[in-house]
Amino acid sequence: MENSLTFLAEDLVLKQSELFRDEYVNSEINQVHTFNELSVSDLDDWYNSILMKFSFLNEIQVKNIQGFLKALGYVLGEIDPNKLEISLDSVEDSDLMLWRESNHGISMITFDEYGQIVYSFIGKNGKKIKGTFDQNIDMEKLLYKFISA
Amino acid sequence: MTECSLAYIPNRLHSLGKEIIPEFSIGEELYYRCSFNDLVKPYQSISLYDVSHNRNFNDTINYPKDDVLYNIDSDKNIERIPEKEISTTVIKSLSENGTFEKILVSKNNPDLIAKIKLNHDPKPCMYPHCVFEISLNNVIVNKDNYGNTLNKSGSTYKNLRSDIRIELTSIIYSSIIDNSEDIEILTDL
Repeated sequence: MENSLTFLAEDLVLKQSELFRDEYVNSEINQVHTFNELSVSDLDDWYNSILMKFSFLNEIQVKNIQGFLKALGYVLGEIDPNKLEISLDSVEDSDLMLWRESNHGISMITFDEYGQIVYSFIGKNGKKIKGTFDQNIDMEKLLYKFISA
Repeated sequence: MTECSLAYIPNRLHSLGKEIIPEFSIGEELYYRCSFNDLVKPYQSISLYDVSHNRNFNDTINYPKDDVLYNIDSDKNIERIPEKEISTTVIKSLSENGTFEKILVSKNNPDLIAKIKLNHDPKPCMYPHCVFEISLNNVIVNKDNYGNTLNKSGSTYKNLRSDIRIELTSIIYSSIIDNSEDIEILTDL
């Protein structure tokens, strides 16, 4: 897994982000973190809180979220999750949206009711990016896209 | 247009006797009233049939942005809408007819075509009021037909609504109206 992470970090846009090493790399990984005002010591707590808060999630959404959190779990050993500042919201009372704001804009991942996984980015300069994928998407690449935007 | 019956609204904002001005201009500002949280991520809270703003006609003295906080609903017994922020958007480019028009073709079904258009829509007590009007295959979407048009079920309509939300959110989030900027499609990750 470590090799996989190293490979991705070197080959994806994350490496090009000046913020990565300055802001995200964290030497202390064994601490209690907070996500969206929820204190979690591991991703299981966060996952359970998502299921409780967004009770509309269907089977395929849950499966996709599990895949994403698995990728996130790999990254938590390398990055301080407090600096990721991932927030959660529902869209149309049927879809789960994870979003975060950076100096460049706002990036979003939506797990919709039809099993689609939508990545979108809106830049402070007006730039707009959108990609719609199915459950076969490489979740680690999606995660890096999300946190490096 | 009927006469404004709200005594606290200044005469300069009354619409009676004034014309609709369909053309907008570069540099003109639009003002959007919203809660603080929506300044960051208005994505999911924006309705897709009534996105109201105030315009300023490039005249910040007679049409200051604070006007957007006036309550123009006579059923509410307040002069100003409390606890709201004002988002300012600047028009950077326009179509040939002097307004903002964005055509969005469904990726799933090219026969489904949505249009977002900026219209001057004066109210009796708020002359600078304007709206982003959304239509689907030339049918203007409103509260009554929303469920039978743009809000139909299925991933095709879901994706088209998502595209519209990105456009509208971009306008508010980036504070820029740019007719020439399209959504870049990401096909591979």
